Amino acid sequence: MNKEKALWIYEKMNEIRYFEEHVRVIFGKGEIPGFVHLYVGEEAVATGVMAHLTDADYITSTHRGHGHAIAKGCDINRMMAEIMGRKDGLGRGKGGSMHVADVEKGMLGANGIVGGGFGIAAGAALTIKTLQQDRVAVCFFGDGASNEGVFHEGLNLASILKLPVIFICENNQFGEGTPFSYASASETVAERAPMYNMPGIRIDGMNVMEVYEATEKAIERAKAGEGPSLIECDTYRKYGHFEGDEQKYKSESDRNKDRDPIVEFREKGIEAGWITEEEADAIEKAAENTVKEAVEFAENSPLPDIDSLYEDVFA
Amino acid sequence: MAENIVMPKLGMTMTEGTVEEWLKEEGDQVEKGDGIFTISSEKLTQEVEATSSGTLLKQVIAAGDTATVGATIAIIGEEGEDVKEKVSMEDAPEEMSEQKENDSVPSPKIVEDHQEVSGERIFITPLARKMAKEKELDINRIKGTGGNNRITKQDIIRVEQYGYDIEISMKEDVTERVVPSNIGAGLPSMRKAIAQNMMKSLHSTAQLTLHRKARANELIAFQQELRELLQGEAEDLKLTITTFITKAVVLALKDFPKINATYQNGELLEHEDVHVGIATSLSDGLLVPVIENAQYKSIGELDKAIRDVSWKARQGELTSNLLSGSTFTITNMGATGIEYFTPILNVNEVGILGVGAFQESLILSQEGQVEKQQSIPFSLTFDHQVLDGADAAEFLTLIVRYIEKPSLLLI
Amino acid sequence: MRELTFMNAIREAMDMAMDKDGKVILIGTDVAGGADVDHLVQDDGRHDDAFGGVFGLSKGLVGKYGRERVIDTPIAEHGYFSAAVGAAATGLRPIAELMFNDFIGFALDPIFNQGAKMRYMFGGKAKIPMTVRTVHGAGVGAAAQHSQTLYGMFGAFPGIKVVVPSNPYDAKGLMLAAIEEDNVVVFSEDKAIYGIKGEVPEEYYTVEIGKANIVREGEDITIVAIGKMVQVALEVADRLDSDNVSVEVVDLRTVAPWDQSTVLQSVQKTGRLILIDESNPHNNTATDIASVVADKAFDYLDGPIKTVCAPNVPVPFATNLEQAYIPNADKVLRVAEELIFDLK
Repeated sequence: MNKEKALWIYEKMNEIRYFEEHVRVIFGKGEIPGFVHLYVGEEAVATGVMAHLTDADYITSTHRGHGHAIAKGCDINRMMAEIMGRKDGLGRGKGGSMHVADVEKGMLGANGIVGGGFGIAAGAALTIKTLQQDRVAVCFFGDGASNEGVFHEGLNLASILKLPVIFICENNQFGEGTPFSYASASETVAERAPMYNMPGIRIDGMNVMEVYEATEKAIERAKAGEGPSLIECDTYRKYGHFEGDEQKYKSESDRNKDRDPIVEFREKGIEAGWITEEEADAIEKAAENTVKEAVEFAENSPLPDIDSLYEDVFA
Repeated sequence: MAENIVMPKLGMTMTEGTVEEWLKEEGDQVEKGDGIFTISSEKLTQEVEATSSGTLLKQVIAAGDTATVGATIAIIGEEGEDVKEKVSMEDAPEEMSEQKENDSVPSPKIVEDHQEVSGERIFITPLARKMAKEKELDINRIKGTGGNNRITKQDIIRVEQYGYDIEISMKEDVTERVVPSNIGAGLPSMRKAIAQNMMKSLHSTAQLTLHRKARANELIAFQQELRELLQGEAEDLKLTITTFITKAVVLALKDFPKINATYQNGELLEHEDVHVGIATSLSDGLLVPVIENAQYKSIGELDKAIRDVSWKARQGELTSNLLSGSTFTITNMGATGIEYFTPILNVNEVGILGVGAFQESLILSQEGQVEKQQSIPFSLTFDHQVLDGADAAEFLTLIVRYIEKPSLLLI
Repeated sequence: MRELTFMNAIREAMDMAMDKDGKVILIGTDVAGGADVDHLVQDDGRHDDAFGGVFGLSKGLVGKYGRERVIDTPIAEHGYFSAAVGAAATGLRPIAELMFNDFIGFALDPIFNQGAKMRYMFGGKAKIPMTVRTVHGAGVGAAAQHSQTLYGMFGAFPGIKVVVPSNPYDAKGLMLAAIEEDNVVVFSEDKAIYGIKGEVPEEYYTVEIGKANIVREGEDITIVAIGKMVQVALEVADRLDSDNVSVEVVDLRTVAPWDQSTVLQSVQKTGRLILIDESNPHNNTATDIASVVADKAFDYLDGPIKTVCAPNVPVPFATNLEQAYIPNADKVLRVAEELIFDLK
């Protein structure tokens, strides 16, 4: 970690936070169709991982994909437009919140299918391996997806083919409304990794530093041709599974409930001398402005042309 | 696979025919094209050919019996093939007509049958429906020969060429109700057909005949003049008075189209084209060959056409299409010396012109001279259901005008 | 011209495509077989295959292109089809083999939810040049879970093209066209005709996807057939010819998007249509074509549109039952009877 990385991480964490809080308000006003799954509370994971990646690296994302997309460098204006179903959206208004993607940025898509990313990330890694590129693929998945059958297929395949892929589990403790402790026979996701002959560690997902360091090791291993790794980030989603969720499954004693990864990282960064108070304030202010501009951009973007309904089915 | 030979449709008005004679017996080998039986209908007798080769498996209709158009008459197939199903499946209309034949007074059942037929949904393919609409054909009068008896493109083409299959609809089944079906029983086929037509005509129309003479001196002079002018040039032209009268009638019909019409099944149709029937007597009966589209024919062309159809009629060489479809008929009794008579309308038509023998009389000319006057007596029968006396008189006056001022015939 | 079997024509196409473009890979269960088995590695380092596909169709490819490009997977269709989609989205041109189309239940999500939709959802930014090779059809005693005909199901999803070759020439040309496509193409092979032979040019050529082939011209009735059923249609055409009924046989070749213009033009000419499809009788390609023709060519129809499909039962095992299951010329002729009633 250094000053430059720390400033980048703090900036992205704040952009994500402001972005999601604004989405929440706009959704509440009824201006976003469908539903949204907010990333608030989990910012340390996306930013800690993405601090190591470039546009050439690939990620696959989840239902809860806004944070990954911002951290991966997707255009915030066009993300907001996409989520609002506008013409200038990343997907021309045809994907929406659950399908935010930008292949040019290596973002292979948020995914409406729980577990949809395991194989796709493995496939991206297969391309990297076949074409001998100096890249990695990262698969973000939730604790819910860890109980899909394709978790097994994806991890097994990646391991036997020694693919340069890193599986990042964002264990926010609930798959929709069902606690992970109930839904999983294993106590952790990480402990399953050795069965696939890959390292698996469980870390504090509210702590950017831990995420940053674990990812660094996994990338080294992947690029060395030694195959995939699994990192389970223990985290917590501040809001419901989707907006409007009453969250009756949550309780006061939930782990990580009262933690805020952004506040924690600000303190740590200042303590370590990577960030000054003034820099932190300026970053927060700038992030808020960036998001406000994105909202303005999206609101000014027209609805998609009806003719576009028929476009881009085939190349 | 067994093949059915059905009662063919020989003319626009034919609805049924009689099997006159079987030319092949059951079990005989037949080749495609062999005549297998003869039928008679209305005014015609015709041999029906095998449409495929094989064994004549069954004579479905006995000689002398009548069947409706489209009903199976014979079945040809491979020896030993089972024909039961074929017969029972497809001969329902046949049974109906037999029943009609046997009942001297039609029972209410027959009317019901007609209602059933007409009231049923008509199965017709989308293509056939579209074609029928374009060609303004009435699908109620077309017999479907496709699967499930649906009307197909083939049926439309056939009807377009040979006329409707079904003449009697339940709407206006007057003739069927009032004309006993045993008319003409026991007579030879042509006589039987004539008998049925005459009775049908009398029973289904309100016939009234008007008589009037036309001065013919100028026409005779016109005829002479034309003959002289054309001498040596058109040897084949006879230019008979009949030709001129026909021309006069055609022109009058164009002037007065109300009488160039047919009235059938409650439907009065004025026809654009003039198809003139020329009643022609034969040794054993009467035929009415038709000159189609007479409105397009010059005097010379009419002359040739009349001679051609009359000759063919006498030789028995008329094809069925030349025996039906007339829109107005001329009947000439001049050769017999008869002056006036009351012609009977050709079935469905609303007018027929009778031509009598030339009459000679002496008259006082405008100059006060006594002159010989030739005149032609006309008898116009019309259907008072659809025309009034004044209409008919107007039409007859038009004819007389053309005869008396023959140069008008050239217009 | 040189003759090849249907199977060898497909292998030759894959061989040519892999030779031409290093981004083309073949991935699937036992597409080579025998991975990591030391004694299958030859002295010169080349790999021998244990299977070369369960039907031996891809035999020899691993020897030529190595295990890096002919990739044996675990029996994990969901996983490796997802991987094929990911690879296609990131620059490879995978040919992913679904050994029997019956296994689609395990592989459907990556094909129809991911591969088929990415381009659309991502606003036109992704290309998914993936060929799904799979095998359909009854007739070899493989019973209910290895004999179904499911290509029509793939055709129900936008974003997927589906081709079904009926002969060796088309098989090679369509396979090369499928690999060239920047879209998901399902290439469905009827295992019962792997052995049929036909003339196949030695050079590289493609058969246009989306274009049906009129294999026999006729006037009275159109028969549209798919894959193996084209042979049935031709037999029917021969038999009706002796009744003076002239049959036009259309080999659909592409099931999705099927060639509306060729089919509609043929129906406009003949007015009658029979569709032969070995799928179960509902919600299949034949019913889809029937609905479109009924709509777009309504005024040209001179009879009902007839479909001849497998009955609405699973594929049975016993040989006599299986034969009764598959559409054949007699079944088609029975159906044709109603349509040609007025022609004979």
